[in-house]
Amino acid sequence: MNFNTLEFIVYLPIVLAMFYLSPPRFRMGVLLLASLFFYGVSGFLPLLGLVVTIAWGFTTAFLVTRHPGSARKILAVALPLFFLFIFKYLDFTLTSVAASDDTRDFFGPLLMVVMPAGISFYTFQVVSYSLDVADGKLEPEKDLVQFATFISFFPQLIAGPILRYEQIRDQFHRISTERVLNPDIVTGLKFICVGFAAKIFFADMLSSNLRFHAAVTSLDAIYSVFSYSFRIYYDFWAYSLMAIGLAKLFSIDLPRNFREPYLAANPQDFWRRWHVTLSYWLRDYVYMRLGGNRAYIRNIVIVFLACGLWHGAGWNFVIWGAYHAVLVAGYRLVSPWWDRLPGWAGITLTFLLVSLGWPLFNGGISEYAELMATIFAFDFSGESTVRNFSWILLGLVAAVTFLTREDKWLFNTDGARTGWKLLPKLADSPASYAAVLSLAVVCLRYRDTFIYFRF
Amino acid sequence: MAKAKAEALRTPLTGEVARTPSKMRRAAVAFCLTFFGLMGGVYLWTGLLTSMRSEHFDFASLAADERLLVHGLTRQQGGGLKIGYIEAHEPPRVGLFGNHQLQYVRTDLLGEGYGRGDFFNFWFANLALPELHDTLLHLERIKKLPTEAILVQMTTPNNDNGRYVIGYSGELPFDLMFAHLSDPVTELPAPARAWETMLARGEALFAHLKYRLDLFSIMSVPVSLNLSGLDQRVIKLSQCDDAAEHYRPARIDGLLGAVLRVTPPIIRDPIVDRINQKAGGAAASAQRFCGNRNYIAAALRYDGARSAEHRWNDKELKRDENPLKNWSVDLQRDDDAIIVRHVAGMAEIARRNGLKFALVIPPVYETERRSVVNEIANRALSRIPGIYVADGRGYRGDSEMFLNYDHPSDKYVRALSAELKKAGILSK
Repeated sequence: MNFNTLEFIVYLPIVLAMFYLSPPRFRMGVLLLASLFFYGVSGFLPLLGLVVTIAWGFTTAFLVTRHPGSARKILAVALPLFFLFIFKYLDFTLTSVAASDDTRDFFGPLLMVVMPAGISFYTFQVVSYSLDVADGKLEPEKDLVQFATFISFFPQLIAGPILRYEQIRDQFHRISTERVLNPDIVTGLKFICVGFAAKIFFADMLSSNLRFHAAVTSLDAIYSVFSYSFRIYYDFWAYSLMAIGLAKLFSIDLPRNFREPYLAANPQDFWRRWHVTLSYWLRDYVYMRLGGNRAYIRNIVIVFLACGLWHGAGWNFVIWGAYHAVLVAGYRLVSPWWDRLPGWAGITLTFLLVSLGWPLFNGGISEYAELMATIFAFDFSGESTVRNFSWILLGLVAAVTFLTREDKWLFNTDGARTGWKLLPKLADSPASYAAVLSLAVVCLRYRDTFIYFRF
Repeated sequence: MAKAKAEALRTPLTGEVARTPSKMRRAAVAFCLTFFGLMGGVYLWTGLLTSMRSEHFDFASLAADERLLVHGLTRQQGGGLKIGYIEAHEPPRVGLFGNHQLQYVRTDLLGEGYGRGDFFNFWFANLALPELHDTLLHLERIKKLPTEAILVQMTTPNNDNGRYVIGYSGELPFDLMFAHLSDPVTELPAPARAWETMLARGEALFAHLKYRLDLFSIMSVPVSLNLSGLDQRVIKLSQCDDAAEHYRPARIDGLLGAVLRVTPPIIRDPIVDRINQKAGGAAASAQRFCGNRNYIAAALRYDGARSAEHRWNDKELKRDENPLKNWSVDLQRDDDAIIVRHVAGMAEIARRNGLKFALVIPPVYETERRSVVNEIANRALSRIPGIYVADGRGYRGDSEMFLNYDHPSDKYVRALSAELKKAGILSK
């Protein structure tokens, strides 16, 4: 089930009512059943895969605690990673090794299973839990319902943020013991409505005007690159914001996944702001385990190749990962020079470099090469295929991105509500959020799912 | 003090300062009242959309050079026109039931033996096999099935990576949706049937809500009210010329013209329409749709088809336009059973009514691409023996067979006709 559907708008109030009408000790059960239903409507096999993964993670945690050792650690993460390989990477692997038709036929029944949504996200949560338990950082959870809810919690199940168990354990304990929860409903609704609107009016509208293959002139190609750059950002940002807002309705706080990434001053800073929970996951469970800064370049390359492959099973994603490895490692080499740049110059350069990499997400390597060739031909003659409206929309989105500070107007991190002085009081009211949501609902295009669902 | 209070409310993971718990209930009530109030208003407004089905428009009354404009109608209204036609008029000898992929299949392409009234193209929107099954069951009940042959088009699996092969588009009139649930041939055991009926009712409800709470439906209300008479929607191509001054809003000058030129067509058209009618009377009225990209291109012929020569802004021919990505597959491994169920059900309708039946799979312009959805479809087809399948997927690489990626050309239709005649489905 997608957040941007009417079905979800009906589903959510029902789940909220059941949650708040239940006695505290049943709330986790309600959340778990609601989450399994949320996931199960997409098919029985994906649900089965999720349930088996949960059962495996729960059981093996006790095994690695009682019998520590690398072999058991590997065993604990083997099944979730095996599932991930089968559902996400098998087809890519067979294609890459030019497998014969007979080989493909042998794997045919597996290849016909659609990749379960969110498998990359929940696999990483199970793996982090198992490794933390094996390393003695966490006690294995004895409450299966609570553990299962951690893995399957529906606001973040499909596309994150990727949670660590220590971030959620005490919060789950609180909602299953305290009678009165006092959720921050207003902020939750605000996040949901702003996220919904950003998805519909920024990401989807940019998407509908995006025509990579129709780019004739360099200007068209430049438009496509920037348009896609904002599109992918607002698509994922919107989902993450909605996830945080939804969780707030259940009195759960989720970590932020984005911290104004297009205001990053350099490529390294970008990865501290973009998909933060994935960056930290890769830092803690890959980079540090490889030795961290002791072999910086090698480890950065490995981490970003893994990051690319995590995003998708394709050589375009591998190249995208390698591109970011070059950016981050390259920044390290030139940082004395780069860090002397004026603030706006660093931000602009970072944005340009990051944006040039994004089209790899959208298509094959040859299409990417064509697009780059069109840009760098610097041919601005000929009739553009990009309409004026598209440029206006792109400008509006860019202005919001670069000229406003979501830390203030959205997240209110200084606590002084200074950001809201920019807007009339009426705009910051539940009725306004409801109006924005209503407008977004009638503009819904049901075909447009979230980009990160594919990962 | 205020700072300390704010710190106490700071959320550890997101860093924002939370709102105080007071007034939360009032905020929730204000939110719900506004949201459901606005949605209720939209629902009432779109209730003004007129049903084109009850007009029982007679397509056969259109002359060869006349077209029925469907501009400004929702897809459901456009589909309703065709359902309404067949419900009130004589059925054709051959009916093609499908979707936009075969919208350009017209009578004259079928060759000798087929003239006016012999063929009707029931295409509309993105209808999938279950919806075509529902349509045929409805026509069987009202005894309006074609009299000679039924051609059913399946969306090419590689077109939208399996979408609209079995997935409901929700664009069929609501009373027809899920008619197949009570089809005696495909009847299921009681518990499965009860479950499926419940799911179907839910799906129908959501399809209805999506239709009524949709921007295009909202905007269509004024256009629909302004162009409600179907006689106003018939244009004669012979009366059209290419003079730009006839076209809206070129006839409107000054500031109003400037404003209208940058206004979205869906808002602009009803306004300009009124102005044109008042200013130009019948002459302007007759020509006001001529040549306009949105009008003739969306108009229907006497046989329900569109004219390929009036295509406008249809996509360019591009091979492999739709990618076949693993994350966007819309057919799953067990879906072959659903394909079998519906194709067999439709073939059975033809059999029990003594009609010939063929399943038509048009090609899309592509390279040889191995895909999961193709394999699922092939597995389904291998399980339905005794049914003629005009499988055009082999034409995939021949650019002359296409107008664009998923719309085959006249050449393909002629080849299809020849194949169906050879197989005895169509008369020679």
